[in-house]
Amino acid sequence: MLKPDEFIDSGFAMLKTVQPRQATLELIAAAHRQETRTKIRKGALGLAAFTAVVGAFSIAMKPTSALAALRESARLTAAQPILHVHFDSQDVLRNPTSPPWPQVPRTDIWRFPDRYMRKHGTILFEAFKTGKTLSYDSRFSEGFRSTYDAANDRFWRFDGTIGEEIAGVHQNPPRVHDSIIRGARYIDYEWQDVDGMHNRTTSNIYIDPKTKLVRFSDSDRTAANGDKNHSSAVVEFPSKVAAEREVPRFPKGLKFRTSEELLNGFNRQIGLPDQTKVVAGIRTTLYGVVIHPNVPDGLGVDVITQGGAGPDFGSGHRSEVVGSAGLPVKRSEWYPPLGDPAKARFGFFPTISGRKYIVNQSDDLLFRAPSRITVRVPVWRLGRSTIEREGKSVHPHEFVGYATFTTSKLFYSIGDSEMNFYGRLRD
Amino acid sequence: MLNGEIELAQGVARNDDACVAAFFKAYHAGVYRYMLCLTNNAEDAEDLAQDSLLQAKSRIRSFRGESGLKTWVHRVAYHTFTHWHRKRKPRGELNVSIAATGEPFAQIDTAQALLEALTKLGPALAQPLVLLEINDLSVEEIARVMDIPAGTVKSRLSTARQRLRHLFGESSC
Repeated sequence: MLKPDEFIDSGFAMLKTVQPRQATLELIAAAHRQETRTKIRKGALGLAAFTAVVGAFSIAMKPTSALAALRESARLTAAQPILHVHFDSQDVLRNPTSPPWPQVPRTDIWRFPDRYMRKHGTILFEAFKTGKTLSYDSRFSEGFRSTYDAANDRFWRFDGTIGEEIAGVHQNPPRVHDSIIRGARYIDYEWQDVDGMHNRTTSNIYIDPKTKLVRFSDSDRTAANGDKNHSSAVVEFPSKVAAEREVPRFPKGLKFRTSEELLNGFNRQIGLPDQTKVVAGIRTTLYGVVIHPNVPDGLGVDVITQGGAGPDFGSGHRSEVVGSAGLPVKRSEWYPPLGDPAKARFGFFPTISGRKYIVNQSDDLLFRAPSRITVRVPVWRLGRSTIEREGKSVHPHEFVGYATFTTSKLFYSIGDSEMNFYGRLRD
Repeated sequence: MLNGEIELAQGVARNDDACVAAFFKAYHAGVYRYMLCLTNNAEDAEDLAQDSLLQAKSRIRSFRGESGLKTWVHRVAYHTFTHWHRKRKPRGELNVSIAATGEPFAQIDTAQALLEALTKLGPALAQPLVLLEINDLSVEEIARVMDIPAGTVKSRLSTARQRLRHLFGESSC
């Protein structure tokens, strides 16, 4: 009988001998040669299969987003039941004592053997039926108000407070709770409570081209305690359902800079101030706006400024894209990294030649590269110092207001900021 | 930092076919094993290894030689995995194909049990352990890969080991 350490070492020794299939290396080389990413896995029910399914739909039908099509279908056939839902969930066994659910208008067209899935049904039902504001309650988001943005057919935003439903742990308002349907492939929403617990729910959507069934598989995960719930559902939609993943459209000939080019460009071009605004006596200088494709299904925006104090991450004030030359702007998903969420998507301070810049990573999402953009940047100043118990003085950062800049000084990055784009600037 | 690594990186940046092939060959197995340990799924590991290497190849110009090329490639792999992990659909099935290596069944069971245990640990704890034990990176290199302090790496390594001991102490052996 092996001791645990011996068992572990033996397992690692075995794993070190595992070799990948030779064919995969050849495929990588082939993908490199063709400059296309040939997926190794073919035929599996994965992204490739889904892409093919979506492609088949797109060819046959008028291209539009799936949710818009579903909503349109619902509108056209509002007088009759249009959706039949069959749920198969394990969750009901986990939570046999869940409270009774509030009645949802017109639930007669839904069948809910499982209470847990009702939140999805409610969302979809209401969104399809009205395309307007809705509210709902569910086990994981009791007390939340969910607002469906009719002008943006892929996006829900959640505001509110989490009730005491979840084992008395989440009794405080969450910081962020966003929801996005990305190209009808999956619903993905996440939130984080004040205890730092990162919760995330992903509902995958698959469309079977033969049966015209849309399959949901859902999983809730709570990273901190490993709690898991799995549910799945099959939703039958009218046959005329189109699905297409919306992709960002770039102007022809637009060249995205590599991180290296942008680094050089920062010194030569971004490093020159564009314009300055004074808010409550605090001078803030805009150096440029960097647009990068490193967010899913769109373009992300980083605003480079200098002046004032650094941001207070906990305050909730963030950079926003106010306008972009008539192009649509959408609130993006908030992406906290694994580990410390405070490091995520707020900003950091590259220092070049002794000057400290603030890079505000906006949460907003563009779908085309604009020629001009208006951004709103929070401005901070150092507050009065206070003496802590240990004798250290602390300067709180006070939010004083927003500085709004409209600029055409745009830079396009290949978008590897997560890895080494701005990180290099600090070196 | 070896001159050979810089030359290799420069060759890859020039798109020299021989250098690119050597680059892929040098890091493919390591990155694949890293992904396999984190995903516990051979197909996902292959996909992620491919994505990582193509990503590394396309961004090789940003390699400045401040760390070893191996560390840099693993940093790319780390980010590829992190991005995938945020977006992925959780899988219920385990699909590891390591039986083809010709090892005795007992060892295969051990490896599979370890893979499952690593999945249970979560990426934050499993990654440093895998990088140390499978990819032979030092604590400092792991710290660079994960962009965390070396002390944190040591702490996570210790915690990960402890949890593995606990897991295997309870169930198997």
